[in-house]
Amino acid sequence: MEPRVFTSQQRDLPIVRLNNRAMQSLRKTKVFKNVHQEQVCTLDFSVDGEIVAAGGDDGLISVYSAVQGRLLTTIPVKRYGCGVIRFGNHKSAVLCASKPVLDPGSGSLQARAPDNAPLSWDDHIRYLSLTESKYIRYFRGHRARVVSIAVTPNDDSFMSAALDGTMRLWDIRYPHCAGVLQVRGRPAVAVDPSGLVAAVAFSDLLKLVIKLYDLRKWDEGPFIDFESNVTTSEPTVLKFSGDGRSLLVGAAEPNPRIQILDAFNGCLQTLCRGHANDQAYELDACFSPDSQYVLSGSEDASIHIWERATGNPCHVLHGHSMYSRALGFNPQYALLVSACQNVVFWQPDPATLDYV
Amino acid sequence: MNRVLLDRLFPFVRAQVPEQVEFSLSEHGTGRCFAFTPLYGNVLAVGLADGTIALYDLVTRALAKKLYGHTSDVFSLSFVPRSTWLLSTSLDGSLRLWDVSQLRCIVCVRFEAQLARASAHPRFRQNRLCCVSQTGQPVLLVQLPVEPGEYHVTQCPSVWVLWSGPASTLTMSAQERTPTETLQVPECAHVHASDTEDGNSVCTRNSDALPPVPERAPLLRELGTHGAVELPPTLTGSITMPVAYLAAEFDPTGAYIITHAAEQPGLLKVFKIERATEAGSGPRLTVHCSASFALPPRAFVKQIQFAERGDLFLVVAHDRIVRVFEWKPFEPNKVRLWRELKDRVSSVQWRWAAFASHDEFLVAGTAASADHRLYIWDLKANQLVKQLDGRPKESLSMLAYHANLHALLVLVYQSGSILVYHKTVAENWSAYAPSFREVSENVEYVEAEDEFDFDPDGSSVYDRRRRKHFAPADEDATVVDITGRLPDSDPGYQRFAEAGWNASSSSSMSSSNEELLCLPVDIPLDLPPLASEASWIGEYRALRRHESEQQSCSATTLRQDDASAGTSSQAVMRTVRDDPAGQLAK
Repeated sequence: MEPRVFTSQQRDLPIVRLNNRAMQSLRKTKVFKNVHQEQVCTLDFSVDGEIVAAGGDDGLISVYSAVQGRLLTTIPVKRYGCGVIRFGNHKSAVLCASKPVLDPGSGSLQARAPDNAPLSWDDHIRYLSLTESKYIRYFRGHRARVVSIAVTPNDDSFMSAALDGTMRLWDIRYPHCAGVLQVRGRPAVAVDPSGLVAAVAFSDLLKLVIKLYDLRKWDEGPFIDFESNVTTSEPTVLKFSGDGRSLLVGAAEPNPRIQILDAFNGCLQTLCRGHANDQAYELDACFSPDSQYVLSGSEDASIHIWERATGNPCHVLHGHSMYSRALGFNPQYALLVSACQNVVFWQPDPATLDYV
Repeated sequence: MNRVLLDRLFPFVRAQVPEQVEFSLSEHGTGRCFAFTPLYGNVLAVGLADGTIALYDLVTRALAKKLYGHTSDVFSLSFVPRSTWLLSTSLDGSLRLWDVSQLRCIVCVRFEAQLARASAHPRFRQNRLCCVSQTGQPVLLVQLPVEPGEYHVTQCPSVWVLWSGPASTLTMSAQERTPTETLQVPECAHVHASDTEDGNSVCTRNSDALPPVPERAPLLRELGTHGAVELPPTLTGSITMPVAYLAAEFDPTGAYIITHAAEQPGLLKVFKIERATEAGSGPRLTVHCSASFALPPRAFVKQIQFAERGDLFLVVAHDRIVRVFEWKPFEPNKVRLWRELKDRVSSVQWRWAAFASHDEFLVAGTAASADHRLYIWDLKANQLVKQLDGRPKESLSMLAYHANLHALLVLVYQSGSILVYHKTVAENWSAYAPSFREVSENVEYVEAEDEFDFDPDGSSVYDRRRRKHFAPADEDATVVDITGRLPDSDPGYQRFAEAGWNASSSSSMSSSNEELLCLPVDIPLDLPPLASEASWIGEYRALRRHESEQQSCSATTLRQDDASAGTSSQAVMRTVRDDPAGQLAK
């Protein structure tokens, strides 16, 4: 079936509401093949939803226009690789954390894995200008691979978490870190949409611990902390929903469950399960922009969609050739982007949407 | 400093460096050494030259209590991790264990030599092990008695001499030199040296029954008597070490001791403490040398210190370089040199160094007596951040960095004065009142002639004139974008758009070149208002208070209420706040 492509140029677009029929009608409208030579491990949208950047294990960042469905540019970052990409509040630059680059021929790590690393290796976070393909600023401080970055929406600060168990708070205009927090194990961070609350999740003796910090008074300790009763391995995904009421926690474990917690009191709201992850990959998960759906990749190359309120499975998308480690729903538009080695744009059938 | 309990609070710590001397603690005596309490670290214990230990409250900066017991200069203080116990060594040759919370001395152990430093095992409260370095003599690992009281070192349950060379060198070096200082372990002590496979040996004494305390009996006769070490009969029983600097420190797991081997300057040795079970005698500890690594030759080590996280340790040596090593727990052979810090212009000797602010920085003080300085390096970036001038014409004795109070650095000088450095806090009054203007000097206020003239309708003539005067300036003021977002007309983005479009036009990877139409999604925006201070965190706290008041009401009921009422959780919390008696939950 030929995917339907919309070709209007009008700017005053109708506003739509997502519903189950729309989620079930998601189809591939764009596929970008041969951009990445290895799997894409991270992707992120700019705040206004117009640009999407994807970083692959091959040390390449590809930048797409999300509204027009075009590849804008590719930026090689072979020397340090990219493990995490996050847009700040400027859509012309991304924060990029290093990761050992996969050698395309052998599939093994090149000789700069941190254990036998040469002195030039570092785990800095770099602020990369997408327009000029150069690093604007280096954020030096972490001593192990950075696994999670969260940017506050209303000012220029961001938090990062690394495998050495430290979390750091930075101002994007200043290369030295403003605050450090130490936990045991692998942490994950998220900042809520109001920009006031930062969540920090880690696993303490197989118990999920989440601590919430007031970002205006972050040096006073957390103002609330929860412990989850669901035993979990170390959390790899932590996200606030768009309305700020829920927290999504995902872990790389063989029996995958995505926990949706109440962001106010830490109660388990729903448990999304049904996808596969026998090899314990770090699968990504996200909310839809209206916070009504939860999406996650699966080991069997499908993408599962659940209703957030009930946890019922809504739909399973097929079409990838490999499992998808990175996916994201556009924060403004009805567009899902997922990536295995190819980057795929999914769109709902406009006939199924409710128009406001 | 012990971070374990502080970490339970999970505070973010500001990465700051101190800037200036804030206050000095010298009015209560001549300071010799100091230590922070591990519990919240708001008490500074200072060992004084008259043998007392002063406890200062860092919040009020006043003397809180004094501990009396030592009769001469207190040489070193170190707190037992996770407790309020304090180990102190003194010139009078005694080691004392204090309970600071109860202000009493628990155990006093008398040694026959001058004690340089004592450091407690990480699990000291269980096993009572501590490492005692003596001036000019090998390091002892001592197990302190459990019962309170005064003891001689021979009455301790176990004493190990950390001696890693062959047992014969211990005696031979003793024979060759003029006896100046003696290491005394008295008669009846069961001392034996066991050769390990790499030719090193450790002398151990483990007495089952407490022997009577003799007056002054030499160790080496004992070694000979019990046959473990062959000694020439001419030896009189004195042992002299060639160096005066000895440092020993437990690693954070407590399984290893890193010490500077006295017989070979520049050689650091790692001793492993193992629990061995022998038939008939139950479990007992054995100590053997498991690794060693060398600094450049002839570099005597002054200080070894572990970082808070335990994955780094620093070594201050005589060769004008502070070295930072990476330490992997339980892998003593994988010690790797990470940083070498020195003054690149004029190489100076270092007196003392300390990790600072969550191991972000390293502070080192120079050993020069006339003009000493403090250097602060950013360890991650490997660069010098700041140089602070010390007090002139005084020489530094030791320094330490408080991890939790913001950028607090304490120095003690050989003259006995103690200085506390702090980050300069500039009070920014104009942040509170934008019209406030700070002046550097007092300005005489000249009253305008019409300042208090009023029109018949009550408005001030002066105000009106001022307003007219300042109005044009306001129009010219540029509008500052405080949201931080780039507008679409931003030149950077325009360039990006143009460059990107052209670059990708030749690419062949998209399935079709037709453009997508993306429809914006309606996002139900009922977020709490950003600007209102009342909003979110206040409601979190209200909910938290409510939960603590209503212990019986579990959170799930609250959630069910929420679902059944069909309201949002925020609405529930508003109700909770308006209804503090908790009627809702009932």
